[in-house]
Amino acid sequence: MIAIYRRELSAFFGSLVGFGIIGAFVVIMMLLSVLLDPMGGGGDWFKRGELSMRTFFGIFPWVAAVVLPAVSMKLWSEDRRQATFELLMTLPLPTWQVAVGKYLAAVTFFAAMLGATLAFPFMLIRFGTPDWGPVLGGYLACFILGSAFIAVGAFVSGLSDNQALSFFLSMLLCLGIVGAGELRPLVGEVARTAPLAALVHALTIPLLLLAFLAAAVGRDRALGSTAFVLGLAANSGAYLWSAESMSKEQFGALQGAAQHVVTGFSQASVLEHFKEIERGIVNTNGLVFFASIVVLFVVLNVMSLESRRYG
Amino acid sequence: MVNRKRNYTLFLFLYAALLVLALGTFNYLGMEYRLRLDLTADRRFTLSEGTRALLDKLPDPVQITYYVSAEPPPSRVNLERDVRDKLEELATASAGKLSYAVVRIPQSEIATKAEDLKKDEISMTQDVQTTGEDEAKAAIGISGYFSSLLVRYGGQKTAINGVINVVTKDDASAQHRVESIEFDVMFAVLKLKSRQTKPPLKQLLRNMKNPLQINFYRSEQMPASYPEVGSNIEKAIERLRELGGQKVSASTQTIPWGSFVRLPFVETSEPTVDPAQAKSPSQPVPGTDGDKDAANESSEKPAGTPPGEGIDPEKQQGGVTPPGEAPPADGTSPPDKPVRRGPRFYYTHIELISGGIMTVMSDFSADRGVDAIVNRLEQDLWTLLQPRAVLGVIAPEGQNPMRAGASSYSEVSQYITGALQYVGREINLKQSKSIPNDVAVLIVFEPHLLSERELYEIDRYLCSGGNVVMLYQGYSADMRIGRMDTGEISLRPSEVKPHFLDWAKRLGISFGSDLLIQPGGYFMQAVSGFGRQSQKQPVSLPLAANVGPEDTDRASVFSRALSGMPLPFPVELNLDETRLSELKLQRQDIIRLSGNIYRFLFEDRNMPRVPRVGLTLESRAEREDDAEKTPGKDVRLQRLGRQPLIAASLSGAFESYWAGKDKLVPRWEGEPADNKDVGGQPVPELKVRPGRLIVTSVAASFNSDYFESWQEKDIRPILSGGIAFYRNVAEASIYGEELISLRAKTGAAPRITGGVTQADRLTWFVICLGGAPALLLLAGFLRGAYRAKAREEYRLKIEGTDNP
Repeated sequence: MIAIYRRELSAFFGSLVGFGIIGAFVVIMMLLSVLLDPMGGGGDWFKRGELSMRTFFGIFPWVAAVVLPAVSMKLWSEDRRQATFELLMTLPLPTWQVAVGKYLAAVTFFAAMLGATLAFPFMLIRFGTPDWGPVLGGYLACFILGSAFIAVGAFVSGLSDNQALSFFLSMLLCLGIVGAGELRPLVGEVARTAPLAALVHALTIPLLLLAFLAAAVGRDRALGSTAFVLGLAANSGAYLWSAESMSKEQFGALQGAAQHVVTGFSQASVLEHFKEIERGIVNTNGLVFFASIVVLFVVLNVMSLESRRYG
Repeated sequence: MVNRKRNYTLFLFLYAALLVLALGTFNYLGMEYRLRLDLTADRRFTLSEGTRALLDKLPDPVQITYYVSAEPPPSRVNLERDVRDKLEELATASAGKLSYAVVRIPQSEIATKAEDLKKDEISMTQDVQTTGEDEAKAAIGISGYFSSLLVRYGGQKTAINGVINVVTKDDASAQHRVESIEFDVMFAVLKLKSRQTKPPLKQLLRNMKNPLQINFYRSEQMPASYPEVGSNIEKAIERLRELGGQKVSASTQTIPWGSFVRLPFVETSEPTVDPAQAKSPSQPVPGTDGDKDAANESSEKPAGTPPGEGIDPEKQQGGVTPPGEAPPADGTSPPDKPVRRGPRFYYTHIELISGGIMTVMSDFSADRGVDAIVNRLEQDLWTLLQPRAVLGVIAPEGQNPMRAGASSYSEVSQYITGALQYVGREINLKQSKSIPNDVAVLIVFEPHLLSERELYEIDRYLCSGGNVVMLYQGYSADMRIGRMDTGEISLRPSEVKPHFLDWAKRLGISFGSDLLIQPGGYFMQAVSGFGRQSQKQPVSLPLAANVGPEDTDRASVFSRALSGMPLPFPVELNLDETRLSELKLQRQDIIRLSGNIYRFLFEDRNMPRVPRVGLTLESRAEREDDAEKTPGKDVRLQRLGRQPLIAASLSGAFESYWAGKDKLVPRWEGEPADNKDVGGQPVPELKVRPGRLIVTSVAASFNSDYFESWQEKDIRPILSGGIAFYRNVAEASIYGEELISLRAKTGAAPRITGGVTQADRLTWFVICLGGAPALLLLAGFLRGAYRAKAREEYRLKIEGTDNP
């Protein structure tokens, strides 16, 4: 596994693309967080006068969702393109070791990307006495969120031979993961006005996603299409049901149950957990949540590789 | 083949589902048994035990609505985020008992919203601060903004207005800040929880413990726009009298037309009505030039002075208005007879007195009709009669703190009982045998003068769960200007009875070298008036200076910080004339105490209120490390609010606190062996409960916002800071243990201290951008070196193999 790790790491730092990604990441982050600050309403960090990196951490999830797929896209697609995939798969190593070795190399590369932004904390020291807790928390949050994105990207990369396609799909998936957190008010509204639909969504969408992933891993397009159509029908049909057919008490009970969906959705929101850690609060549930994403996608990645290796 | 593939896919699906289930279980466990680490410097996102306990115990849910401007001033761009952070923390910790919503108000709707929200007592804050030209430009057009919390609990609500995140150095007015949201919200909830529902008026009047006396002072003349206001008030009082029966008595005193008495009056834009003409209210009285003169003269007088004072009565009362000179406002024909015009003010002053407490009302111009006036009286009556806490006050002999002007403590006591609606009671332990049980908080001025028996009684009160605030004055000094010429101030330790020090020592309290110069003892040059009329005049001033560097991290400093006082700080130890001139200091500016020299900074408004001292509560967010870096008033400074400081003081963060734990029942040397008190009565058995004691400086009662009104002839110190101290201490004591365990914390991230030049900006931006290339170059260099070394080693190895 260490050999795989070293090989991948040298591949990252041995090419101009790797350095280009780091440079692009730093430039985007610094421009947005020091000069523009789009998340905070726009403005110059210096004029804002707040001795913190919250502008930086605020935009990180969105920038990472775009940049990190570029790191992960080549993890497997590149091997396929260079026909080294078969070599890797025939190594006397379990598949998981190969996958984890590659994943850790990508994470290390990402850590170097974060390291390249350390000039920002130095700037804080120059202009006053910052509170290091939130800075530390912010970097921790960035690291674990980035690690989760890389796991997602590695999985997608394992599914496709095409780097551009895997980049695009990973980016969409990561943006969806981040953006889902912003849907909390919408989910709350659905739970209030159409609680049955909220419950149907809560039940079917995770299953649908899993079925879709399984179909993608198993390359079973028919099953994937069936799951998609059935899911779409169930979720759309839930809105056709009329609240008038129920008594007020039943509707109230349904609303109560749907509120749990909102709570569960909040707990499953990447952005909520990220914001909490970024404020300087490290919670075990936040860490477990990000670790779960990593484990889920790394395992799915291993399964998809094994399906190719043996199937 | 297809089946095999399908089976494999189904296997994958099940496998993934099981994995998700397992991970979901882990997440659930992580949530249930969650560990939480607050990495912020002062754990500002960690709620206090008190808040948690209170949230747990609350039977009803709390709903908070945060009204915030969608386009706030530039200095407040992070305000919404900071408040959200805090509310989120409260909501998370409450396990569903507390929820919040944020209502963003666009600039275009701000005026209409302001009207709508008035009913909930939500108001805009006008505190539009800007730093620098850019911010000032961006703030153009913003006259005010919303940042208010509406707390709803148990069907009642209360507003917390003007929540801000950054406070300027010289802004002492901001009471609600992000850092004190936890305190403010929980305090509001506690108040709402304990607020009693007002009974119907009849029941309220019939169930009064004490009789109610209503005194009505009215002018003969009444406003032209509402001439029947006087008679309506009389009718409303009569209705109250009928409902209250024997318990209500009323008197009406008529102030003759145009006369002045020392009572609050109501100004009116039109001349008041001649009592004879008031009988025909439809006919307004026109104004005249003569009236304008009188009004102008009146408007030049300082506020609070009756407008007619010093004005020629003839001129004030007016004379005869020639017909047609000023037509009636309603367009009707001018009266045939000459009209007497009245002055532009009138009296409708009511005093409601019950049980020795009084509430007053003076302006009924907005209360149209008898019903509206009755409602108004009912509200004030409820304020007067609702159960209130008793504050006992012990002062040195001969200084009755409850009587206006009787002593230097009267201001404090009067304010507590009047404005803050407590029942104030002087406790004279020389006459009474013990401290009554209903005293919620006992304030003791100058405890070092207490006799042994008095101290014994206080000790017993404390041990039975009482709350005591002692204001101790360790030193005094004569700082009249003649003495100050030399720059040497002689300190005179206060005469302290040894048993007081022994008693304090037993409780683990030691005293620093505090001093208080009595009002009138020291004076400073203060500017009064504005523009050409401004002049410097000596003003007597209560002053507290801390005496030695060893005191700066102790309660003496804390108490000053508590009341927002500016603190003198050491300048230099050896000052000679040359050095003084170098520092541009006058002799009057300095004080030499205990061999050290301190500088007074009363007129320096830019001085931070909580200066750089070893104050335990000082947080990084509020500290300015280097005074040289602060370019004056443009720098914003965050500092702790007063409430968290008080809460912290009560929570035992300072040595001047004693909770009564492990305290033995007090013994008094003079206690009779037969267990009888001085009056021969048996000493009641003491049920020991933890009490609360704060010993702090008298200076805590005074504030740096010295002057109430420049127009007042007698300039006197305003005591708002000190009053806030008493109020908060008292309320914290009354409302319970939960409140006092709230910790002091800051609300937002630290600010940039010192200026940022254009060069700084450019340099650091380049460094931030260049960090990556530098790292890349370094990595590339290291990698190249490593590879070269590896190649060399490999070459040597190969060569070694080839040539054994």
